Formats: sequence, C-alpha cells, structure tokens
Amino acid sequence: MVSPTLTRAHPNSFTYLKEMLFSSLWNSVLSIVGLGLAGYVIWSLIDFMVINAVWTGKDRTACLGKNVGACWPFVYAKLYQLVYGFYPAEERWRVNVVYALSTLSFIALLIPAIPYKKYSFAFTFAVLPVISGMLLVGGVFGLEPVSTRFWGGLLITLVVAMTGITLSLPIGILLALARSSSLPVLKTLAIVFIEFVRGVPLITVLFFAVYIIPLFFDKSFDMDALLRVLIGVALFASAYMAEVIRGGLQAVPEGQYETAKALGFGYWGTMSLIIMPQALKNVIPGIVNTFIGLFKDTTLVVVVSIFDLLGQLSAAYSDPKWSTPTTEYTGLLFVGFIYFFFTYGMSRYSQYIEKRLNSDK
Amino acid sequence: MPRFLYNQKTVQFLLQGLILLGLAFMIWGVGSNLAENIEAKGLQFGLSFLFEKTGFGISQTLISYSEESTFAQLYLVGLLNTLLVAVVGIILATVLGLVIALARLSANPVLRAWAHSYIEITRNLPALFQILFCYVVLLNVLPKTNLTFFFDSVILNVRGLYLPVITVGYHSVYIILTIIIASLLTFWFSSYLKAYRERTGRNASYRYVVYALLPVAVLCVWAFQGFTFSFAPPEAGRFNVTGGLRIIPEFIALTLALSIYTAGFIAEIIRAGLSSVSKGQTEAAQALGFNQNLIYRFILIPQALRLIIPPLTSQYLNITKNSSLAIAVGYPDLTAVFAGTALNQTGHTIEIILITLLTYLSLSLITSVAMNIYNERIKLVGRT
Repeated sequence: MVSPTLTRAHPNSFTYLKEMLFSSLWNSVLSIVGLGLAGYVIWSLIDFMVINAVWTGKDRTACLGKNVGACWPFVYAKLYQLVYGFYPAEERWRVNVVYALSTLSFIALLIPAIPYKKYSFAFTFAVLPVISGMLLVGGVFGLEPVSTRFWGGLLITLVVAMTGITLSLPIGILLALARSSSLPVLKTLAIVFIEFVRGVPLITVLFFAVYIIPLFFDKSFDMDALLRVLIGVALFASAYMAEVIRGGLQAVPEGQYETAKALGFGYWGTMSLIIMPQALKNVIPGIVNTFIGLFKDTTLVVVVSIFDLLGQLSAAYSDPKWSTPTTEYTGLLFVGFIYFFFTYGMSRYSQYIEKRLNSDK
Repeated sequence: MPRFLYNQKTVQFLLQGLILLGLAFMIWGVGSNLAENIEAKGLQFGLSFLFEKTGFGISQTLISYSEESTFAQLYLVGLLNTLLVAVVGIILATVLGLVIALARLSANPVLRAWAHSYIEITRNLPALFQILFCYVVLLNVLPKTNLTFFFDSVILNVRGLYLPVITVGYHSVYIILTIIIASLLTFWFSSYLKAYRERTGRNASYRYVVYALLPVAVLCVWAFQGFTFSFAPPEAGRFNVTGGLRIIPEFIALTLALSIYTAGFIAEIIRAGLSSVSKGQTEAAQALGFNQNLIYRFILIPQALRLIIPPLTSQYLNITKNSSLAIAVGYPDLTAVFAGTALNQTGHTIEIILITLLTYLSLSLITSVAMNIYNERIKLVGRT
C-alpha cells in the first residue's frame, strides 16, 4: 500500500499540503469534504455543549425553546443519582473514602516509578476489596448497613468492574493452568467451562447467575441481587482471562520448564516463581484489553435490574420533570465522556506499558 | 511418605479421582438443592410447555406468528430475528470496517485522522451505550406523521419503515432460495472454468452454460409458479399503517449500532493484517508496474487474510452474541422473547435459560467451525 511518503526529502508545509491533501482531484475532494465535515462536527459540539447550552434552571422550562443546546441543569440535578445511586446522603462519605482509597492504590500500582510494587499489588487485590466491602455494605464497626438495592450509578459500575477485575485474574490463572494441565479430567473440565462461557452472551450468563445459581443453594439462603451479578461477571471474565493467559503461557519457552525440572522445582514452584511471571508479563496488553472489555460490559447489568451508570441515566432522562428535546442528548454526552475517560485512559496506559516492555528487550 | 505416592502416574490418577469425586459430590448437593427449590417455588420442570399457546404477540416476526402460536414457534421467531440481526450486522460491519481500514492506511492525513477518531470512539464506548444513542437519535429523527416515497408505496414514520410486499410466485421465499442455491452452484462451477482456463489458456466453450444457470433457474421456478407477481403497498389508515413489510426502528437502531461498534474492531484487525505484509512486497510490485488495485487484490489481501481471519471470526461471534442486547431496546430477539417474556409468563426458568444458552453455544460453534474450515484452506502450507 502507499505509505505516506513525500517526493522531496525536506518538504515545506506547502509541498506537504500539495502532495498529501491535493495530489489528485479525488484526493482534493476528499480532503476538502473531510476537513469541512470535521469543522462542522467540532463546531456543532462546541455550539451544543457551551454556546447554546443552558447552565442554570430548576426544571424543564429552563431548557425549552428554540435552538437550545445542552441542558446542564438536568445533569446537576441528577448528578448524585448518577454517581451514588440512591445511597443515603449521610453515608455518602463512605463511598467517597472508597473512591479516594481506590484511586490512590491504583496510582501506586500503575505508575512504574513508584516503588514497593509488591505491597501495592497485595493492597489492591487483597486489602482494598475487603475494606471497600466493609465500608460500602456497612453493618460492622458501627457503620449503618446500606442494602445493595440502594447502590447505583457510577458506584455500581466501578464495583462490578473492580470485582470482575480482581476476581478474574486469580481465577483466570487457575483456569489457564487447568487448561494446560496434563491431567485429562482437569483439562476437559476446564475446556468445557471456558468454551461454554465464551460461546454465550454475557446477558445469558447474567440471567443464569440471577435466576439459576440461587437455586443451587439452600432455599433459606436469599442471595443478594448484586452478589449474583458479581458472580456471573467474575465467571464470565475469568473464562476470557484464562484464554489470554493461556496465550502467554504458550509463549514461554519450553526450556524454562525443563530447567526448572532439572533444578528440582515442583509444579507449583515452577509455575509461581518461573513460568507465571514471564507469561503474565507477555500478555499485559491482553489483560488490560480484557479489563477494558469488562468495564464496558458492566453496562449490561441493567437487563437484570441493577442500575449502573447507563441504567441510572436511562431512568433519569425518563423523568417527566426534565423532559425536553435535548435532555437525552445531554445525559448521553455526559455519560459518554465518563466512559470514554475510563476506557481511553486504560487503553493509553496499556500502550504505554507495551512500549516500555518492548523497549526493555 | 508411602512409596506409591512418589510415582507420578499414581498421584495423577488419585488426584483425578479426587476431582471427580468432588465434582460428583457437588453435583449431588446442587441437584438436591435444585429439586427442593423447584418444589418449594412451585416451578414445574419439563419441556411440554413448548407446545402450549403463548398468548402474546411479537412486533416483528419473519414467520407467521400469532397469539395462538406455541412457545416452540416463539423460539423460532426469536432465533430468526437474532439470525437476521447477526447476518445483516456481519455484512455491514465487514464492509464498513474495510472502508475504515483503508482510510486508516491512506496517504491522506485527513482521511487517516477521521478513521483514527472513528476507531477510538467506537472501540471505547460500550456497545449498549451506542445502541441506546442510536435508538434515541432514531426516535427523535423519525417523523411522527407519515412521510411517503415512490408514489405512496414506501411509508416512513416513527413506528417504522413500511415497504411494499413484493411476492414473486406463490411465496417469495422459493425464488430467494433458488437465487441462493443457483448462485452457490455458479460459484462452484466457475472454479472449474478457472481451472480449465489456467490449464489450456483458452476460455471454456461451455462457459455460457454456467453463466446462464442463474437466470434460467430463476425463470424456470417462476414459470412453474405461473409467472405470478404481486405488489402490495402499505396503506396509511387513520391511526396506523396497515399492510406492507414493516422494518421496526428497534431493528435499525440495533443493527446499525452493532455494525458501527464492531466495524471499529474489524478495521483495526484488517489494518493490522495489511500492515503485517512486508513493505518489500509492495515495493517489488510497484517496480513491476502493478497499480494500487492489483497490489491489493493479488499481493496484499491474500497474505493479509491469514492474519485477519481468526480475529475476524471472534468479531463475527461477538456480533451474534451482542445481538442479545436487543432486550434493552425492545427488539424481539431470542433472549428478549424467550429468556425474557416467555420466562416471565411460564415458570420454566431452568429449561428456558438452558435452551437459550445451548442455542447461542451452537451458533458460536457453527460459526467457529465454518471459519476454521476457511482458515485451513488459506493457511500457510508447509511449516507445522
């Protein structure tokens, strides 16, 4: 294919424009249309979000009228619902503490320059979930218990995503080891589980988790609705994670296994000290991609009546008090930016890590 | 430690025995709880419900369906709707993905920037978000009063797009099947034509027979049905539109959004595949006088296909599985009508969910097998 090269060794901007954008009639037309369209889209967005937007108001009457842009009062009014759900107002400080702790621990874990990675890792994957669980659910240490029915919005999105991420990695590693195991029974069970879970949509796995898994337990045990969803999401993510890790395992040279055997390492010694660190390092981009997919898949919990960020938004813009032509678009733009911030951030981080790992070699 | 435990085979055997024992115990425990819970909640267990009448209607059905139809027919309706979304989505996504990938690789920086932005935006926003967005836009953009085209034969309003029902022969499906089968046969025979041409350097004299196969077959089938043809446009009544082939906005929103979403991923896959072909190939071809069209057709795409097909397969599977998101916009696909409505109407949770899971699993397996067969044919031969 034609890679973008120019005919002159040191082009000036005029040559660049001429050869890249206007080299032929078709090319010139495409360039002009493309630039014009880009300008139109960007201008429309700025127009909608800033220039014609309404900034203050109490209800829908503020956002009615001709040429009205984004209805920001709607977002202000629904902001607490979108971020906390119906979490009781006096207890919101607990959610804030969890948010702050999580942000700090992830910063410590993800920025390569910060040392003591082992402790950050242990904290993030072992201590943080326990602390967050205790703070959010309450009922211990004199904290008021808050039923998961009141959780919603960004809180649910982050809880489901974080639980999925935290659980899918260890379970995925175990599944990948089982899949590559030499015991036929274990291998078959792992293959059946992984292929079954990967072949069905997440929605059906959620239905299975919400309707059928509770039937597996004693009838007096009323499983929390959110817990069922968390189990379903964890199982689903583990299967995908297992495949990613298996790819990493296959890239570890055979010699490593043999040397370990020669040195007298047992199975678990080999795996934990020699093979797994190499395998995981190989597939960090794949792991982060799975996390990104998991984050996006948290939107699906709305079909089992758990109101995550998107679900809460759908409920919010159905409110007749705020019904205007631009309410839905404003809400969707706002939530879209939030999702984009998280997922684009994760993907840029993954590219950064990939570059660092490749430059190490 | 006793001596037999040092024997690796023995230990493995014992471990597997323990695993099976544990599994059996778990199944027994789960099974007994299941039986208790079924009895306690009053759910019945059995597949006979499939032959009972449903009692509710569906907004889009590709086969005839009414409130009198059975749950088995409801299952078929849902399955066909899912397949419709999957097939249309796959075709649209592939075409769109190809265009975006070519734009991403073009020399024009404006095109590259547009393609890059498209890919970043569609890959980072959740699929459900994009579906809801398309649905909201569609509902706001579609006119509330009827908009007619082509002399009142096509009606567009917020409840859908109504096309005229064109019946060729007794039922259009016969002609459509004939076209599909004849096309496949022509395609198959044309490989023989090509082999003949390569072997002898001349065109086969019987090639016109092969070319004529499709039109002759269609004409024969149509003649057999008496050359009947009917054109039934939709009628705009006072409150709603009757007749015509109705395409509901939920279908358009779902299919369009899924195609746009997956096209971003497919574009990246195609781009990675095309970029993997070493640049020397292109340069050599250019030196030999190939133009861009020929370079793509004979050099880049055949080599890139080997890298593109496996991830492309998983994207096609993703479209099929993501079609289950239809439940969020009210499109009657398999999950929505069977695992949604039917589950609420009858008490047969376990059977319904199991059937749904097995259906999707079968669809995934069939698609995987088909793509693997194609993959085997185009794989690099030689190194194992």
